[in-house]
Amino acid sequence: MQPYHPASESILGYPGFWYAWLILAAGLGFFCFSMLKRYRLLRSGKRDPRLGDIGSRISGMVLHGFLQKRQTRYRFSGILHIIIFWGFLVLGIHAIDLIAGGLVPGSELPFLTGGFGSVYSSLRDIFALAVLAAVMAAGYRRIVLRPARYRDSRHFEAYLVLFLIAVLMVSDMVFEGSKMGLGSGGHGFQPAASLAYAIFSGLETEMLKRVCRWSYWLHLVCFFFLLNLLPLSKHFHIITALFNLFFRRLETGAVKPPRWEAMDMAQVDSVGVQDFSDFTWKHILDFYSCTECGRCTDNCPASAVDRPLSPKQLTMNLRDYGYRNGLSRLQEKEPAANHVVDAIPDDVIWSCTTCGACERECPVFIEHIDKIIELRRHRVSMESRFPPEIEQAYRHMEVFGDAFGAGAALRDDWARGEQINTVAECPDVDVLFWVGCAGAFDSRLQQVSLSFSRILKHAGVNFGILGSEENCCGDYARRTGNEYLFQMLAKRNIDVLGKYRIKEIVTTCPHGYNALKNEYPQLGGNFSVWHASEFIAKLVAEGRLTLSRPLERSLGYHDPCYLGRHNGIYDAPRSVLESIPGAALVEPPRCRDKSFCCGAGGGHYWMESTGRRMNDERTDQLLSVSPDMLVTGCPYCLIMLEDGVESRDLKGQVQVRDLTELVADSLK
Amino acid sequence: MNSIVCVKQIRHIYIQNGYSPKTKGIVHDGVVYVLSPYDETALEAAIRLREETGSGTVTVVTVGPARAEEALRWCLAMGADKAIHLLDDDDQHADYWKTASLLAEVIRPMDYDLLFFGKKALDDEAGVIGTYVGELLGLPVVTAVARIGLPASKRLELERALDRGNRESLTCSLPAVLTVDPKLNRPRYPTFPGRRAAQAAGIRQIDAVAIQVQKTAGRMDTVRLAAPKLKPRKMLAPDSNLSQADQLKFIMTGGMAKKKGGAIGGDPKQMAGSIIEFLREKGVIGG
Repeated sequence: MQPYHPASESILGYPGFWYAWLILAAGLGFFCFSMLKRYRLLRSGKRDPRLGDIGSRISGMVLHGFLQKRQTRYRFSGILHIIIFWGFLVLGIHAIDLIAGGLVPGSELPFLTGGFGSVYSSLRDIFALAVLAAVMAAGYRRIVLRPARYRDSRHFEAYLVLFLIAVLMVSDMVFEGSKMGLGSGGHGFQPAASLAYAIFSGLETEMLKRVCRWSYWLHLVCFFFLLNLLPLSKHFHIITALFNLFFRRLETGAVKPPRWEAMDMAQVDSVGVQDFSDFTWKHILDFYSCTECGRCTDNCPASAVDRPLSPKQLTMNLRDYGYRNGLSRLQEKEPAANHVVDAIPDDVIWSCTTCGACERECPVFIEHIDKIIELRRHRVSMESRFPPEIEQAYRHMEVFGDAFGAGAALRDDWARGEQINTVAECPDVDVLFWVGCAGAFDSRLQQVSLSFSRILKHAGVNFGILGSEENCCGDYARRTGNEYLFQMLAKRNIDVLGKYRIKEIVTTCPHGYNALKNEYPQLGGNFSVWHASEFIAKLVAEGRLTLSRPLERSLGYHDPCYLGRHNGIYDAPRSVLESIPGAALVEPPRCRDKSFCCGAGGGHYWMESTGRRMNDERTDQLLSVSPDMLVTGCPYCLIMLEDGVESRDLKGQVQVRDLTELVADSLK
Repeated sequence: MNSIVCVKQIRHIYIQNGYSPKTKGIVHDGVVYVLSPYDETALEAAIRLREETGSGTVTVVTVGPARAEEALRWCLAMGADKAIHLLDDDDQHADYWKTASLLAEVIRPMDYDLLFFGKKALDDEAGVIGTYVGELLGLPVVTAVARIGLPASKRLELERALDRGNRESLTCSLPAVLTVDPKLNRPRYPTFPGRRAAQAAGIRQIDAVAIQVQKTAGRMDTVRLAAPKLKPRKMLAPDSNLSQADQLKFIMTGGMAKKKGGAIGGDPKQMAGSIIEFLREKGVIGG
């Protein structure tokens, strides 16, 4: 006897399975229509090569997608999501089985029969109950607990989808349970179906059949309704997230060049984003994949000090703009009155310090920084529209080669009397010490340069400096959107470094480190670059440094954004500090990849700030663990934290030092 | 509203060294060249006038050696339409009448409503070229212009910057020569498209020797150009504990003003004793 199946019954005079085909056709039809629109918008974006290193891409997709690695940075909601996600994968197979069963009544997917079938049925049921519990917990969180990071997300969509998932789970349980009652259920341990069956056990056959039919068609309709809701809501990430993970950026620290197919400014006529289609296809995929979870904004230091930037909001607004205007501009149906570059207010764009906290938190690896810099590029490079105080720094960099406006002749003043050779005098060096503008011209930071050069001499390293031939690395020019100026400076530096055939560089400044290592290759400059902390760690390991004078102090180490998040260097500075006798590290809140920006990045060192100060906020965090001393590995962080300590009236009591200074002090 | 802006490339007033793309290294004769800042203001004024009236061309002209082309490129990047380079290897520019004559000869056949100059160049601080050119071309000259109104039928409303913030309003007929005060505007920063266009633009070059001008040989000769002799001066900052009057006296005499009252010294015990003495004297404590 054929097991009972709702699709084998007639409805309104037509065979049940016709309705299954109708639902399938309509559901898939609308879905394909929506997907086609989204696909065309995606294709309108600029080029973005994302197929390098397929191995890493796949392993990252597995680790962060299937294994949901980043989800548990927020533990409770992370676990809920993992349950729902894995439930989706497991129950997805069941959904296909149900649909197939409706199209050809009574059929089953071949691999779901037999022994594997009953194992799968158990697994499926366990997940059905788990997912149901999870969506109820998720609903409770959203409605009652109201986490701050969900503010301004679209709640109706969220409630609708949670509701639909619950309906799908319940209708599935009822369907399987009623089939059990009719004798055509599956075998083995099926807790969900059994639970439903227990509720219906008293019903007569005809009633059971009706329950079976209703739950089946409800499930089918809900399934396709949810499917069609995906491309129209924030749950589009269900389809796009795994792709977004596969196509994620593998190299860290570098900003996107003007165009991926034209990295040199000489090859392009325009730069930055004016129209929506100036975004690359990967940026557009990012917009599709945003789940509105708010983890980015929750960790954004600009948001924390009440600046108008919210990375989540920015992504949502750009996505909505693209949905509204993206295609119409292409087709010239209704020429949009505004460009996307004008749709985002200036103060939002200028709030960002490019610290990377948003990108570090995002479970689907959305790249926020590139988009902000692209919007800055259009304003600065194409419209000359920027905060007026930056202009001075730009003119100085162009004319003098440094943002301070001191000039090349003063660049090796700090080294007078130290017997440090320039490569012009002694070209045969093993490594170049890249001093940077801050280390050369700022009187406080010159002490860092002196400390590091003493360390190098103590270890017998054959090094030299460029002296007056060194130019600003251009990091701030690039990050504020002045790509032309950045490339002008970078090319000068690459020329000079090439003239002296420099291959190895060590620097005390993470911004210079990042530019030389990660961005200069875009313009043909390939160097092996070390940060001072890495280099010192190497010298200590090789026994070339004896740190003997003790430092009986507790140290609070602040992870600089451009050393830590952007370049993954967390351990070298710590091991260097721990090799100083007597030094004890106390980890402040928000350390390592959760570090809170000092506030100088993204050009902010040269900008005015109003309202709460990021460096004050960070200083408070660091001081909360009561260290004797604050230590960092970046000259700009040093200045910002010293200012923070001073604004808290602790100037004499808490010292702020660079790690190279502490190492130099500890030398015999 | 067609404008011609005369600009000068000057040595930067305080910087000492610069980069040369030719040698890919430092320029050891220690000079960086820039467009004279007031000339940039003048160019900005001309460009704004073109934008406000909706039509006209802005032409920049410079007299100088080959390196002055960089300054013209910056002007073109800001938005000038055309550029003319009068090639003159005379680096000293001391013969102002000759420079003005060269400019006048080139400008005379051109079609213009306004001639713009900076009120002075920041290297030699002469401030005469604009006036000389006006004289040679028979035009009215208004100096230190701090505000320009919209032109109306061959007359222009202007404001001049006087001392201590005072302003003088006047009108003048067109065509005219205007030399501008830096208060007039804030020059724009060139855009990338501007720089691209500037790189590609053609600059009309004229050899200065080909132009017959009246030289001022004998009327004015440069004897010497000298760098400043550094005379370090010790600056004594007045003690902020002094009264205002005493601080002023201090500054004016350039010496140490004596504090009223004595200062106590010695070890802590002695100082404590002195303080107690003092308080007893003043009757603050008994005993």
